[in-house]
This record gives sequence, C-alpha cells and structure tokens, in this order.
Amino acid sequence: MIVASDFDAGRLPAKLSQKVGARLRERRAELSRTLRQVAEAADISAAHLSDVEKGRTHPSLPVLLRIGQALDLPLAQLLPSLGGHHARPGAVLADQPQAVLSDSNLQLRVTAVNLGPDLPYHLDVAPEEDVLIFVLSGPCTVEIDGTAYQADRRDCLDVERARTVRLTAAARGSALVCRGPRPSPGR
Amino acid sequence: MDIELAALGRNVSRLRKARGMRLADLAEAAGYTASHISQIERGTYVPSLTALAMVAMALEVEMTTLLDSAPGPAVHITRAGEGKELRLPDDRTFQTVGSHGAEGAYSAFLLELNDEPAVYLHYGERFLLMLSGRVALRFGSDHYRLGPGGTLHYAAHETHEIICEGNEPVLALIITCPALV
Repeated sequence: MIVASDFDAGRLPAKLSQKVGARLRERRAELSRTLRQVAEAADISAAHLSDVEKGRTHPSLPVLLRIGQALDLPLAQLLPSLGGHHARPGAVLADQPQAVLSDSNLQLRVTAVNLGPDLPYHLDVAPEEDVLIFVLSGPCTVEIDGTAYQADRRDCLDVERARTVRLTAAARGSALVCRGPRPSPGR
Repeated sequence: MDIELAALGRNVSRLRKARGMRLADLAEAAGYTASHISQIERGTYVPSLTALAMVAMALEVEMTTLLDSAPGPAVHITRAGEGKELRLPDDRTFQTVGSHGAEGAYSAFLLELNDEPAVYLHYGERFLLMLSGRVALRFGSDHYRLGPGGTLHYAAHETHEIICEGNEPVLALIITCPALV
C-alpha cells in the first residue's frame, strides 16, 4: 500500500495567508483600532480576526471583503502589497505512482496518483480539510470512510469531513487529489 | 439520546451498505430479524447492548464506531459533462465541477479558453491542470508554457496573463483557494 507522504515537514513560513494577515494587522495598527472594533465592523468574531491576522486561517472571500471594508483597505490595494512570486510548474506523468504538484508556500496540496491492481492510494484526511478527487483516467473506485463510489474519466468528487480516502483501479487509472483547509467559521 | 440513536442508525446503515449487505444479510450475520435491523437504522428502536455488540461484530467494527455521533462525510459528485455552466460577460465559459460554498476550502472549474489573451489578478491561489491544448502564463518577465498534463500552482495576487497557443481547443481544470462559489 502507498501511504501519502506529502506532509512536507519543512513547510516554509511565507504562506499567503500569513502575508495577508500581517498586512491586515499592520493596517489595523495604522488606524489604531482594536481587534474587537474591527471584528465588530466586519461582523466576525475577534477570535476569528485574530486567527486571520496570524495567518492561521485563510479567510473566506466574503469575510476578507468585510475585513477590508472595516479597515478601509480595498482588495485592489491589498493584493499588490503582498508581493512575492510563487508559481510551481509540474506535470501529470504516467510513470510515477504519485507526484506532489503543489507549491509548499501555498495552501492547496495537490497530488497526481497513478492507480493499478497492486497500486492503491490511501490518504488520511486532516479534520479541517476538504478533498477534491478529479479522475483523469478510469474507471476508479473511490472509497470515502469505507463507502465506495465508482468514478470514471473527468468525474469529480468534492468531499467534506472525510477521514480516509482510498483510490483503487481494477485495471489502470489516474486521478488528481487536491486538499485544502476550510476557512474556519467566522462567528 | 435521540440524536445518538439517529447517529447509531445512520452509522449502521452506512456501514451495511458500504459492505454490500442487504438488511437480511446483516440480520442473519447478527442473529436478529431484518425488521429489527431496519428499526435500528431508522432510530425507532433502542437495541440492547448485546444486540449492539452482535451488529458491530457482523459489520466488523468496534461498538464505539456505531455510536460515533460526529456527522459523516458529505460527498458531492459531478459526473463528466454535468458541471453547472457559468458564462462570463466576455464569453468565457466555466463549468463548476467541485464547490460547496464560501465555507468550502476551494472551488474547482473546467475552463474553456478562447484566443483572446486575458489578464488576471485575484486574491488567493490557483492550481491549473491542462486537459487539452496549450497555453502560456506570463507573470511579469516569467513565462510558463503548459501543454496537456502540464500543471501550474501559483499565487494569483500578481498580475498575470493567460495566452492560448496553437490550434487545439484549450480545456483546463482550475482549482481556486479560497472558494469562489
């Protein structure tokens, strides 16, 4: 069995959410406003705003827009101030059981997997993650917490609250598996 | 207690189906009637501890698994070609293939690109997988050229341009984080 090994231990600290958080905190300091004041104006909890500022969570877009309004900081101004160019090219190849295709500075974790009778793929999902499975070639069987779904080429499974995902193929198959952290509930 | 009973019923039903068992199969394996099992699954009957242990054994799980009241996974399946279509004012079309609202981690789209180069600037990040055709992505002086099977994972807060190359129609899977729809 192949166990997902793409939990990069040395993830760099320059994640986008941390840059966004730092910029928002800086802006709040410029305006001399408290967490509580800004959180109230943005209609989120102070705890959530604190998490966003520390880069612990990627805010959802509606929440980010509200924080931006509360700080009088339009998105158009926020974005260029983030700086830093992150782009990682890759390719889905047929000759590797699995390949990590995501940039470790960013939030999404994307793996291409090749499947065969003796080549299953197993993933333990973290509690705060959603998982997307896009089938590139099949048919494949996608087991989510023990329940099996049949999926063929270009079928897409979007899964919330899964604990384990297992992909198998009776013949040959391949899929893209993408994980991302859910924004924490705003309030 | 009602909630736990409902969870118990859901768990039994889900595990039974996942193992390809009919009500009668589980009933036989656990030594009860199909009607009993059905009542447990619907949460209308409180099984004895013995019955619970027998059902757990028949399903090959720990008893605690049956009592787990955490909500199970939600699976949204979009079959090939059945994505919800979105047409933008500039005539580009998206098919939404994986998205469950702003509280989800991402949105996934199939994107058909036409000949017009398009300039983008977004909050968050994008993962792009080329399914057919060729494109070039330009970030300032950096170029990335992608053909079928090529991928690019990038922060989208820098102005970038996507340019189609060649004559093949361009179809790409795009995953955005955070979610857009």
